[in-house]
Amino acid sequence: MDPSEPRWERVELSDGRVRLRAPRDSDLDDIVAACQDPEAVRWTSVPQPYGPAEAEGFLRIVEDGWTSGRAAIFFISTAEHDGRYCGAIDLRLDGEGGGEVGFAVAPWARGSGVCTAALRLVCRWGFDTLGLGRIEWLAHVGNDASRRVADKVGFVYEGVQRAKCHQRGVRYDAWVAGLLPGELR
Amino acid sequence: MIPRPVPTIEAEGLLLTPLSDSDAAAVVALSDDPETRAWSSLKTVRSPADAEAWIRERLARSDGMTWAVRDTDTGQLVARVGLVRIDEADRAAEVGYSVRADHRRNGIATRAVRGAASYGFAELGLARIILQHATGNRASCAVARTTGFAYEGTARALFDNGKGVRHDYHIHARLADDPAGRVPAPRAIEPVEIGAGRLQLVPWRPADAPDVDRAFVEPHIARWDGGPPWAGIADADRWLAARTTGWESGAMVSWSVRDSTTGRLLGSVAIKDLDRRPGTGVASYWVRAAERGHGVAGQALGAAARFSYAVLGLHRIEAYHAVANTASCRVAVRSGFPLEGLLRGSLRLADGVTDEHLHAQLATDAP
Repeated sequence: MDPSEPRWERVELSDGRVRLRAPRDSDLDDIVAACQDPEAVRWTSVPQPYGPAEAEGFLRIVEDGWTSGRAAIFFISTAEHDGRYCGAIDLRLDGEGGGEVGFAVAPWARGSGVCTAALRLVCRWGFDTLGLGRIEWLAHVGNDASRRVADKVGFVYEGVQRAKCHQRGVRYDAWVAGLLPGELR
Repeated sequence: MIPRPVPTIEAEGLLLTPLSDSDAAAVVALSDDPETRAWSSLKTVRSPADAEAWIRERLARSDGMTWAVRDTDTGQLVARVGLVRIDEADRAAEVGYSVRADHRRNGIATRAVRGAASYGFAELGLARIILQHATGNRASCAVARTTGFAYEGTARALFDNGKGVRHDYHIHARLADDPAGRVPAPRAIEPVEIGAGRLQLVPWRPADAPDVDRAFVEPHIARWDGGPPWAGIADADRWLAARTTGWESGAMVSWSVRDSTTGRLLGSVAIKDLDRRPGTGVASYWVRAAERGHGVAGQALGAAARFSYAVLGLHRIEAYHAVANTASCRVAVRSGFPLEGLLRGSLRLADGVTDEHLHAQLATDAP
């Protein structure tokens, strides 16, 4: 496959409440604010410190992901937050019919099922539209909040991969779980 | 996309060299085997032209390097080994290999994998190399463990076999500072003594063989054992060796049950068939004839079960016994293992096939 050839139509996904949409210029301040959150810093590989330049870099990564056909990166918004940026979720393709999900929800949108709904939307799209045979979830060992979300959607725990993730120069063990097409809840 | 240079390296009596077009015939011979076709990227190679295309594709890779593995004396290509999916930012890669069918069981895969991995850690500065194989490929599992790649989990439906069926794969990995030698038993359990009132549960020792031999000739223990006729002290040695292996492999925890004051052997208790992912095990116990009728089995079973819930994280322990073994049934029920069912014709004893009772206790039941 020529990696410059997009494999998908760029889409937006919605379940009526949670919407996965393209970035807007007005999201910049919210991205910067979300990346100051200690939970995001602890469990994800966001650069530190994080300012407008890093947020603009992230927007370029989003565009590059879609045009290269390697990663579908969505911004999460909800009706109750008036369409405001509530986090990001991505699906990276492995080129072998599998994908890996990653997500980070802004502190102001946590605890209301937004992340679970977003993950469900992305996995449904990955299986039904992209025809994936497997979607993988990885998180630093100990990231219980992320694991609860994966559990709810139906991911099956598969093991610990040692030193799998690296975050700002340090490697961490990762929990790994897989979701097959019939398992999405 | 700049092809990655492949240097020639030596690996324990093998020579790892770059592939060249002149290897096409040898690559066809390498791929001409059901095992290789089933599991490797050589599955499409059938003719010299296919082999040349495969070699060119390998040579052009910027994210992978493939070596021809040659016998140092003859120069003959006996295998291929490669580092693929090399990700410099992530400092990660995957090792893959195939060995010619007529050169297997000579440790070639082991030496080639060790050589490629050493190169990856020392020269590429990798932090983590994975070795993944379809779950049915037991030979690769053995190579992984022998070369220091620890099993980390099973990724379900990871890769398509080329026929539209996605197979489960074992994920093994070695980190830069892991030793290159054999991976130790994955989940060894530290043998521990447990005090339980007047009983002391003591992990079996080799010196217990005479006691074990005397116990197994007692009719009520021999009758329900289910194994071949007891042949004396050599069987006792074997029986004890299996207890030791159980701790080392994490498959069974077992104890001699002794009088805590005198140390006298009263009986035996074990939780075997340990499967710590679902969190289940199977209880097994016997008591010597002279010590029966004092609740020894029940107390020992309770102590072993509590250990297994608390330390091993089990959530369910089963107990099976021949229906006619009413003593065992009473122990199970009185120890909080209610009867769950009748397993018809499930046990073969010396005098024929019999039905068994299944009892079980959940961690949440335990007193």
